[in-house]
Amino acid sequence: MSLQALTANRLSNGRVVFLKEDGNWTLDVSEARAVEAETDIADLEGAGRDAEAAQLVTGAYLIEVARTANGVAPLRNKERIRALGPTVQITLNQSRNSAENPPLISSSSVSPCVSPCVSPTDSPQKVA
Amino acid sequence: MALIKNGTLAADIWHRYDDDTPLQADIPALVSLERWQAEREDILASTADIGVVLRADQHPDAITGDLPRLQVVALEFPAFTDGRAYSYARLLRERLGFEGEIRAIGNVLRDQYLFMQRTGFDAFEVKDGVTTRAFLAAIEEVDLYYQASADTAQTIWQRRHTTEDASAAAA
Amino acid sequence: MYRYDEFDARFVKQRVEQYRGQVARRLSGEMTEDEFKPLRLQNGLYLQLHAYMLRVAIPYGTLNAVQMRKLAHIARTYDRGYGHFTTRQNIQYNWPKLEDSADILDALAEVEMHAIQTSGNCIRNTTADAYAGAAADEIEDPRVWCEIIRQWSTLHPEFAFLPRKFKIAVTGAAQDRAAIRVHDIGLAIKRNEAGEIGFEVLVGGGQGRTPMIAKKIRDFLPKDYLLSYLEAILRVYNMLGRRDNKYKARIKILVHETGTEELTRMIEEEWEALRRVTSIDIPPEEVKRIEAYFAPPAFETLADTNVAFEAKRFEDKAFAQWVRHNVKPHRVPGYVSVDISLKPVGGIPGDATDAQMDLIADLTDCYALESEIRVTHQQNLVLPHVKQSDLYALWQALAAAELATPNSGLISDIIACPGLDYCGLANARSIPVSQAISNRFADLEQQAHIGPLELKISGCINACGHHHVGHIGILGVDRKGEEHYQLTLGGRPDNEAAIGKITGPGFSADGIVDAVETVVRTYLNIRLSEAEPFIDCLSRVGADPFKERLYGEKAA
Repeated sequence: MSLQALTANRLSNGRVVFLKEDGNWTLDVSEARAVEAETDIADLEGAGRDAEAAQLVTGAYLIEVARTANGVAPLRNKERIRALGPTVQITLNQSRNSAENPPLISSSSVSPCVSPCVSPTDSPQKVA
Repeated sequence: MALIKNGTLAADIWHRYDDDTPLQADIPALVSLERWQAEREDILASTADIGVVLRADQHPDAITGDLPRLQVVALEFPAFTDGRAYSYARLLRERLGFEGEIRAIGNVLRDQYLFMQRTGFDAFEVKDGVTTRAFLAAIEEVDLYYQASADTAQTIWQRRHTTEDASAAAA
Repeated sequence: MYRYDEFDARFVKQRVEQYRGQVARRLSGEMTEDEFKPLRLQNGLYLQLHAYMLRVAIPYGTLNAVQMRKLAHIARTYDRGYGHFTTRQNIQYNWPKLEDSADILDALAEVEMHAIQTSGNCIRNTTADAYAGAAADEIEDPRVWCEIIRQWSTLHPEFAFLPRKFKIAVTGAAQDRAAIRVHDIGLAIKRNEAGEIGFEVLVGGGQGRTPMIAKKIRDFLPKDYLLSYLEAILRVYNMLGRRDNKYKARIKILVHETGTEELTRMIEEEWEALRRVTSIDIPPEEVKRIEAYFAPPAFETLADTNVAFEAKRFEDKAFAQWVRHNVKPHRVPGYVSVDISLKPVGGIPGDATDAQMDLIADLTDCYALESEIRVTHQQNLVLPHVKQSDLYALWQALAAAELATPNSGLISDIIACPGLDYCGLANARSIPVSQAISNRFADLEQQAHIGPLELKISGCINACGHHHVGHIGILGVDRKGEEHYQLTLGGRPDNEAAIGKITGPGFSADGIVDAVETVVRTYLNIRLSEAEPFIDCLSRVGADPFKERLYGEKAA
């Protein structure tokens, strides 16, 4: 099988999380545990079921990932957006003219799925 | 399975037969619609009390003429998200005048008791461990209803225009 | 507008407490996600692509300044400082926590609001003409019956688990501004030959993967029988609608597979039988009670035109431009309805920040009769009753907050679903495409020159962005992992409702913006005059001239 990581939503607040090597969950996909061997993948799935049973997360599933210079990254477009956040400036209507918040979308074209718009109040952090 | 009947935990005296087991005399029998239709005369001859189980795809029209002979109609929820039996229960109560037991069977969950009760169910096959108190707590969480249904509860629309309630509302 | 009495207030409070208990049982593990999901959905809570999403009901799009301020407060306190107004005239928040959700519902209950049945396979928020009670062409205010439907459908015990979601829309005006022909049930208030008021009843419209225009099943239903008739339709649907395939579960498929005539017969038969044994219809004294809440506000007696207003319009070109597009005629002399655009050039359609919501609430208190606000299904806001003489001051305040883009009904007044930026179901992004088109046509003079044009974008075949009924529709699809966009032309949601037709092969994300420009340029070249709007021009010449320009001569 291809390289896989395990993702889910944290039950209490819904945030997208990824299983790390140490068995904790993280908001930062680059820290996700990525495995290829069938037994390791089964291990991930087991960890997902356990975390669901413990009401830590909900809806755990595997995603295809790649190892990059910046750590683990999802392969599919949808999973990239899910991991990194909306590709549009989230308070755009108010702040699109501000120099610190340049529009992500140029006037002539739609940008590819690039950097996330991470809110300062919810930067990646460990999940207990 | 536990049985809640008329709002309290009750012993279930009914036996649900599969289609091949011979019925025993004097044990109240719940049988499938298919069996009822195939063996109607034999069943009526052999036992005292009879109930028919309707699957969610079996409309109560199929037993309209039989209702006077039935003590129970059990309506099945194959999944709690399949709401057909709510309509069937209302038809049985309101249109067909069935006064026997309407029993909810299958995927019968706490958060649906109230809807079932309001549409005419008076017996519920519930998970083991459900107590009378838990059942009542579930159906009393919301005790105000706008619309009329198969129950006799006064609707908000009626209560707004009856004297005691209207003065309470104005307070 | 309607106000809760003690019964409504207690009911909503009970419902919040019930939900609070459900959340506790979920968090403790007493309930599985499968068991909890339908319960949270019926209280408006989804799990979306990034987080939970809470959809709050704004009944038939009507709210007041106090409620708007509470929506701002919720955005600020429990979310990330903004909300998204939807095509069902609701608002949704993109980042609430499950553990906060009962508190949010409590905050809503304080201002007579809730999130009941904003999702799930049940009767959803009933929508109405956003100009109800104000429009010059109105027969009767549809909101009286919308409120009656709201109460009747709320926790209706028989219809909590329908085969699929169920949407009702009501218009009280000659011109349908509520898109009733693409709803499960569409109701049009009409007057019969005897002068009585009733409803024309349409059933089986809808968008999604199999778009259909609703069929008329009754030409005139006396209004006192509305609820029993709705109950008959819903009962037939509940018993016979398909439950084996969620894509074939809407009532439109039942209408299609059973045939309009046969289904009408079944509904009429059910209605007759139902009326014989039960009294479903609302008591007349209760209708009167609810009607009283929708009595017209205390309009002043004013001249048809206000001299100061006319003078400002003459002096200030930007103001005149805004008045031309965003100010709508009112049935009372000296009054108008004002469209507040949530579509700034390059913005996210329907989004508003907490500060904008607060400001709108304040302006509503200053300038709108009875502090009333409406949400339109085009994802804008409306102040229904404003004096002409207040327009200039109102416009200045709105403009300062980027809420006065003069684009109502123009090409940048785009309906777009949240798309793949937020939605777990989407296949492609909608918002960036909408922004790119809005930026491409940023020149407002140019937009005005193009004239009325409804452009609608969906990020998947569920069609939440109403692309099927866009004059220009865009559907995002996933093609081998790439976002790809199909173009449709000729859809419309109004009295002459139609489903748009696909032009041909789809386009890349960049290509779709160019394709829209090509379509618009083609229109400008072939229209008879500025007086021929895009949709009329298209029905005159057909799609071929547009296809030729898009794909070359062979394609057409």
